[in-house]
Amino acid sequence: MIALLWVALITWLTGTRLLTLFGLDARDDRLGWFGWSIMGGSLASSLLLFLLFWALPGQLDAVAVMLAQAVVALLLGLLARKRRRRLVPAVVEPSRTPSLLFRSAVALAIAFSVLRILDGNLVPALAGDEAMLWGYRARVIVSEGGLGADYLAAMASPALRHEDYPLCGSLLQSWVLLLDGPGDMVGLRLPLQLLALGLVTSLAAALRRHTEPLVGAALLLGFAALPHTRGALQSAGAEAPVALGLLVAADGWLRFERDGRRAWLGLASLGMALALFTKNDAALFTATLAAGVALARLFGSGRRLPVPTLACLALIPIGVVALQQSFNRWAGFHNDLMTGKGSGEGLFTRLVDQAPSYLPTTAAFFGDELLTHPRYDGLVFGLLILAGAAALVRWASGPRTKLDVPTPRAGFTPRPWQHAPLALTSASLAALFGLFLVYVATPQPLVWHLQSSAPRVAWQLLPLAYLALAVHVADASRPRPEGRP
Amino acid sequence: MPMDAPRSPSPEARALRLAVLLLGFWGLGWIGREAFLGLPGDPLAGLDASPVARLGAALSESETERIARHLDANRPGAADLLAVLRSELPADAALIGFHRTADQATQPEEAAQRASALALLGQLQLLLHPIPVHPMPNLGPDWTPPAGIDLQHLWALDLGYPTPELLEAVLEPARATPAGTLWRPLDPERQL
Repeated sequence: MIALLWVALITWLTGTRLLTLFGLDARDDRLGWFGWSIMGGSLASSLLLFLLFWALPGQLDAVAVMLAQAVVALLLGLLARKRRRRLVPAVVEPSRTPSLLFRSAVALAIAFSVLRILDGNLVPALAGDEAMLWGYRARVIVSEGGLGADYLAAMASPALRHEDYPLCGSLLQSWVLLLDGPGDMVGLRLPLQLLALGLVTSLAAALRRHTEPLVGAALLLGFAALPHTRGALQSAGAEAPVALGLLVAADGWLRFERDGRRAWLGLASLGMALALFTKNDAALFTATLAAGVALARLFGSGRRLPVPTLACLALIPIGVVALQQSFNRWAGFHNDLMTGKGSGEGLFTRLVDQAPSYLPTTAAFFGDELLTHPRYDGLVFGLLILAGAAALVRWASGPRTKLDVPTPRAGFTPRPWQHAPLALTSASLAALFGLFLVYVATPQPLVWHLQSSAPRVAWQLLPLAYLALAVHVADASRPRPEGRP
Repeated sequence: MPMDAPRSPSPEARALRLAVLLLGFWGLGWIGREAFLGLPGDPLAGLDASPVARLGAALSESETERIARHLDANRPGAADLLAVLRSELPADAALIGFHRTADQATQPEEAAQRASALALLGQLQLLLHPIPVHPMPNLGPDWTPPAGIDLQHLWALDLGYPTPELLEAVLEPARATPAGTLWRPLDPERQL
């Protein structure tokens, strides 16, 4: 129990201090603060563990790791204190007191999520990816004393798969195993379950910020009720951190467009970094999110980007990817998808070769199971396609202004988030389409691969899709001046 | 009408908003159903179906009890087998689990036995770690142990292999449980 308290405490302390260092404060959004802190703390903790385990294999015990974490938390605290003194009070929008209905929906979603966590923990982590992929690897990290030569030798076992996958989830589980003992079969879920809970609260915060309370409450309850949301809360799988990272990245960008604070871009970069350090799928998702934002800014307008700040912040996700790739290169680990499970056939070659035979099956599966299956996503992907199409028709049939956004040069106050629906919709749907192509190019047996992973992997895009839909509703419901589309 | 006079949301916007509100009610319904009635296919045999009703167990049950219930739900007696394995296996042992192949398990009963054996071996890989556990369906005259395993340290678990007497060439029975039989390395003197 003490070990679990330590894990929660360090995650919280490191996360809050990291956010302060980026210029954020709990008063910016108390609801979002919980999820963002867990996100920042998990990222910082996993990176620290990664560096310690890789640099000092066989030399670390629980006490040494706890000491290192305490020192890092202390240092971050000192830096954050200094930073807080220099912080200029943020000019935030007049806060809307959330309606009783919205607060009730948030309370219900959180209570239901906690119930799912407690209930799910009645089953130990002994099956599925949480155990046989991420958890098994965490046990190997602990039993082999870190990420050194012994770890590489142990990973040669056929029981251990996907050795190149990013390490965040396994490192967080290995942290619990190191402190609580290798026999732990339930508590090791805690760091990932905190992230899943953080996803629910971060979605609530994003919906409150970007749409009206009634719509936000409806979307939050819809998301909380999904079966795969239950899966994320009840297991130590790696989907929740990716979903959280993507959501926070999108939310951070929207908030930056609203009030121009650079701190939000820092939050977005932390979100991207967490997603990229958790799963390879996140490379596709973050790329489509960045492309969606770029596309929207191309056709619309937005706040002037602080290029040097943006370049510095981009170094965080890029650095995380570089670190993971360096480790894989050092270890000689290769990706199944890129190497065709050792056949040497690359992703794009397989995509071309397999498309004629795999396209119909993949399309049928995506159509039946992901786009028209109400219990899967509450039909949000489908609604998003319809909303996106309607917005495009509206835009195409109206005067060709830049998506109805007055530019600063024209002397108007920018209303920058008007291109948000386009950005988030194109990002969500492009990522889903990218995923579709990945399955067409799979080196695994197609039907097995689709059934065993596609709904779970696509679920990672759902919080982003829910946010995109919320922004659509907010945008479409806003009274417009006559004469504008 | 003046150019900048506000106009009400379009029919599409109203339809979209209505769809989202329906989604909220739909979610609320599922939340209530799952929390109070439970879900079909719930793996928690022996407990109340409703997560709310079994909250007491979720807050009080020990981890050992959870593991035992989970193991026994897959294969009756597996929790006792785990206790045997933990007491009998030396730290330097390697465990091979023999079970039927898909060809041998043609009847539904045999197929279920095979599936539970495979699931148990996966669970044991985690529960006994770092002792290596190898699923190994085929044992015949040309059988060789997995690379890197010394026969002196090789233990076997018979999980419904059709001809366990083949194990007698290198192993001897150690403990029998309803979930499976543990075989240990032959005494070196007997091997000679």
